[in-house]
Amino acid sequence: MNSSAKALQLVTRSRVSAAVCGSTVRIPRNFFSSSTESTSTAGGTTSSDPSSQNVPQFSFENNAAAEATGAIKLTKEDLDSKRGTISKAMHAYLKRAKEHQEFMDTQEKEFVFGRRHLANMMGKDIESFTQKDVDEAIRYLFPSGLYEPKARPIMRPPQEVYPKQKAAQFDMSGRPHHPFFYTAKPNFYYLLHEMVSKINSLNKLAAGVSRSESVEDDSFSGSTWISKEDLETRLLEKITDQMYSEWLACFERIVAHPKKDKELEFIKAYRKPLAVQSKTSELLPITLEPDGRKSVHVPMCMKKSVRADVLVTVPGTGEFKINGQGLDFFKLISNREAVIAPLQLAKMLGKVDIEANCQGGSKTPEKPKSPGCPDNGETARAIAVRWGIANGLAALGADVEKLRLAGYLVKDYRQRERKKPGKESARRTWTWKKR
Amino acid sequence: MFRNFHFRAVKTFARPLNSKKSLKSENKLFCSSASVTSNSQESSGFFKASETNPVHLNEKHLGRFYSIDNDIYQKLYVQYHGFPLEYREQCKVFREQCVLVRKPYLDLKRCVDAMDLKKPVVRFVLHGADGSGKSMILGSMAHYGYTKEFILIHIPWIPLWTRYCKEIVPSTTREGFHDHTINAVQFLTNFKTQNAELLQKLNLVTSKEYQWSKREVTEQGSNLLAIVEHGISRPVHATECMYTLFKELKAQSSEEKCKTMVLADGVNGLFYDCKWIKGADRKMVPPSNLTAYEAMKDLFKTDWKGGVVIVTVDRIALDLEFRESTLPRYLLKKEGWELFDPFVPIEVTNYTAQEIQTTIDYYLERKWLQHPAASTEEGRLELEYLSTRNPRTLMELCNSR
Repeated sequence: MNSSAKALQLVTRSRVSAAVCGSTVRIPRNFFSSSTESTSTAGGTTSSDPSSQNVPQFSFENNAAAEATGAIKLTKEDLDSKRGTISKAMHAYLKRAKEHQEFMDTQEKEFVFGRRHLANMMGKDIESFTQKDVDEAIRYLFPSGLYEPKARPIMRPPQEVYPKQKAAQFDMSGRPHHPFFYTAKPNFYYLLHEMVSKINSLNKLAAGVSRSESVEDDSFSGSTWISKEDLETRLLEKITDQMYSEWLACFERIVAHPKKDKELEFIKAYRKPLAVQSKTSELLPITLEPDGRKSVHVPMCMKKSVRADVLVTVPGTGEFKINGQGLDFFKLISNREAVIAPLQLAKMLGKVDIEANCQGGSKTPEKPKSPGCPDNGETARAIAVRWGIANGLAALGADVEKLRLAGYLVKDYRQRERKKPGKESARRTWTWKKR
Repeated sequence: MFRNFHFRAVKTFARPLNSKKSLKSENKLFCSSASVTSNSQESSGFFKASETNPVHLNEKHLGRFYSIDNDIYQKLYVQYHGFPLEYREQCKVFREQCVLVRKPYLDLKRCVDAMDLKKPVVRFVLHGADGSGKSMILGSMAHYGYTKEFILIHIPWIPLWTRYCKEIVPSTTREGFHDHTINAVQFLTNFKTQNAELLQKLNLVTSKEYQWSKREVTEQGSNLLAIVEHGISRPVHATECMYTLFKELKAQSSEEKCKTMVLADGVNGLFYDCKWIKGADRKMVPPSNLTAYEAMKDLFKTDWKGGVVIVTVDRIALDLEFRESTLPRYLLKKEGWELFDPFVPIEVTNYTAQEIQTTIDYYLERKWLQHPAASTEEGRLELEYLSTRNPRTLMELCNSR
């Protein structure tokens, strides 16, 4: 029992920063086995574009992939023999990597051991005891009332629990792999370097062409440069606003170049399409009534707590039927105006029949109100019905753009804000009194 | 869209007085401007009937405006709320008094015409939605009654006696009863203005001696106007004079000496408690203890002949908690219903499509609507829909605010 409890080492997941996860080190199982393979440094980054020779190629996009292939493989003898030759930085790194590996191995062992115990306790077969079963067992044995799932006890493979370590950015002799390592933002400055060399090559191509002949075209009109944040995630580096504007200026120069067609692919990689306004949102289906008239049923018209459904029938006599009443369902003239507004805009007033049902909007008033005074929520009801009418008209062939510009097709998702304690209403505070 | 009808802006274009459209079939409301211009000479204000005598109004004038002579208008309506205040203000601006001839009015008129005055009185009850024109039709009937030489007992708006009443004093003659003083004086003054000529002409005399107080006596055989004048000069006795006058008129009508037309607006107010009417002990006076109420209720009974009773039931005459329905059974309550049963109900509805166009035409002709879009089809449609064809709402929409 004692041993099983020890084996069941519960770990609480530490907060792993996402940024660190980008680059990892993978030291294989046979790290200390006597492999005959010679030392190959972690500089496994392969050049992705063989066409350009003079520029050293470092692709920062597939950094992770590069590290996966270029795993460090060292023998114990190598370590001993090269102690004199390898740099101190590399030596420290290797030591750190070894310690980490040892730690992970212990953890792995404990995990396997603990899992077996757990399977035993739960009376399950160890062979078919999957991670799912582990989670279930932990949930059963250590019930937790904590709200945050991340705070509850877990038992997972150590690879999932402990953060991965960053790969070595330098070789055995301590030389960094990346030529721009000492700029502190190697990927960013490497990109700038690449762009300038592209401009230079374009200039060579356009030796005879004068600048003024270049014609502004709008081949990039539908897209925009990627934002600073996007660029940061792509480069895996933090950049400042000034750096971003420099980068933009450089790209503008490429775009303004008369021979920019040669580098279209490169430019497009850093542009993203503008969000296209869906001009024709899905129109509601039209039903053919038995009497040959066309009708559109708009089911869910909402505003605050009002829910309405509207039936627009064409051709009609201009009849309104709102909860069984005519337009006088709305006591306020402004509300009647709101309801007939889309019809006026579409020039359909008097030509369509409207049938609407609306619920909600207010609690029933305790005191009866005078005839001219509307019930609470009447305006919300009017706006809900107006939305339904506008959508029905749009489906029946009215000018959608006009209705959209007038704002009648926008669904109003806003809700009443709740009253807060310590306040008179949602936001309002009581009048301050000295005492 | 074209909301600001009230803008007294300079009219951008003057359109000839429209239109011949009104009396055409309902589905052809909007004639082209060409046809309007062609008819403009002969039908200047086609929506106006040339008839000014209400007796001669018939189906031919349905949906058109007839005008009331200024003398008669001043006599019948101006002094004491004969027509609703908003309408009277409008008349002042227009410098003429035009009333739309509507179907309920013609129906009512025909019924009164056909009535046998030798039988007990018939009660007509006008009912309908708020602002649909009940009071206007009632007021128009006063013109008709005046022309037909009925003695008018015109009680224009009962809430003036209930929640808007002026002064309540304990009665001097009846134990436990209370009198309206100022209201009764106003009524008697109005009665005198409306009927003085007719009373002189018919020479109606009192059937017995009336002792108002120790020294104040109206002799038997004196003119009925003597009672009225006494009431006007002695407000304390005004309500009692009113009651006596009603009784006298009922008796004289039954003896076929005269014809009496009783007009009352919002009678359902008489059957409800009114918390504003308080006695000397600052307690509410129940409706059964008010002399004026008793006098009016006495008029509505069928125990007399040679007259006609036309009343309206109006939910605006009541407090807010009694406004659930506009139907007479609800508004009159059990007491009122039993008093009026049987009666002839006449429903007053909102304007028809033709009537609202006529009214808009009339407002345009009076240059009351000045927005350039008001005369267009869109403007008319907007007015029609915003008002939901309700006469009062249309009036308010077209008013300057």
